[in-house]
Amino acid sequence: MHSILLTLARKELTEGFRSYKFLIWAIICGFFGILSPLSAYYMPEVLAIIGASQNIMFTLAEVTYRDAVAQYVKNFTQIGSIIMIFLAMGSVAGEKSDGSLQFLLVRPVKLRAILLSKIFALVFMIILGLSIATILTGIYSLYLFSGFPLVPFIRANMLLMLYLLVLGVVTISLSAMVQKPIVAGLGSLGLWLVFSALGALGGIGSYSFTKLGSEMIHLIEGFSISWKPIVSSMIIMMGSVGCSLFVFKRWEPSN
Amino acid sequence: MNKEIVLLVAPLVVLELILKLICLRDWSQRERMNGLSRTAWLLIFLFVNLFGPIAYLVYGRKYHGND
Repeated sequence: MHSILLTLARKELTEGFRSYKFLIWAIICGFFGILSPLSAYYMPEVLAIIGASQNIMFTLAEVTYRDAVAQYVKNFTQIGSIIMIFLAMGSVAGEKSDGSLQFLLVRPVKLRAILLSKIFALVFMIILGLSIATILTGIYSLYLFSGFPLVPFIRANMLLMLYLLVLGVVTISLSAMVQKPIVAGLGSLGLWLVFSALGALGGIGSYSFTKLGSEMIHLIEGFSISWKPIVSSMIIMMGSVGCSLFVFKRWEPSN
Repeated sequence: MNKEIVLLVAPLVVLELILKLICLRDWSQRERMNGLSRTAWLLIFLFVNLFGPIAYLVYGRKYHGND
């Protein structure tokens, strides 16, 4: 089982590099890593230029590292989330539709191993991208802002990693349940929107994994964080993998 | 001040150029594309920043039967 899992994981890593998936994610993370502190720092100047051409005067509070962090969290939890769904939606459904999964299943490979190897590649991709983003945001923020808390920022990125991991795992699980990547993508997008709307509510909304973004800011500010979204993230991931295995086992390759 | 901005923004330009070059290399090796014509994809990844190359790499290049 272990050697099969290792072989599959290696296959997924090779595929991730060959399909440019890892490269795309790394470059996007690099973009966000540079753009977040830069856009926060130069926002007053940009607004002043716009205001001068329109005869409007904008008054903004002094820009601090908090604005850069807020921009970073916003970029990843909005655009980053959509890109993550796009990158993960074809993981299993794409292989079903192009026939490569059927080819794999004629060998003694467990479906569980296939899913685990895909999740392993996803974890690798997220760690790679977030490391790049953390380093770049760290460098830019330390240069542009005073008092940037580097260590809490690195710790807070663990929460962002969990956020993206939940989205990725849910998308891969949906991808294992359906025939076409677009269906998995739309399903995951819908679930993400539902959880985002839920997160905006009080009460049960505090369990939404989308609250991890605001918990990240709490952690950087030095406040204690709530464990509710972390626990619910674990439950969502285990539940979605369980559901996908249940459906995936009943899949008929001839269909 | 201007020099500082140029230096700070330069890595973004480099990342964008790398993406466009990868797309161009891949595009020149393929005869058929997904969804749109070859020329349309060329224009998209050359002139739409960041999202153009990503759209090409994620969707455009995956023509079934050519991959």
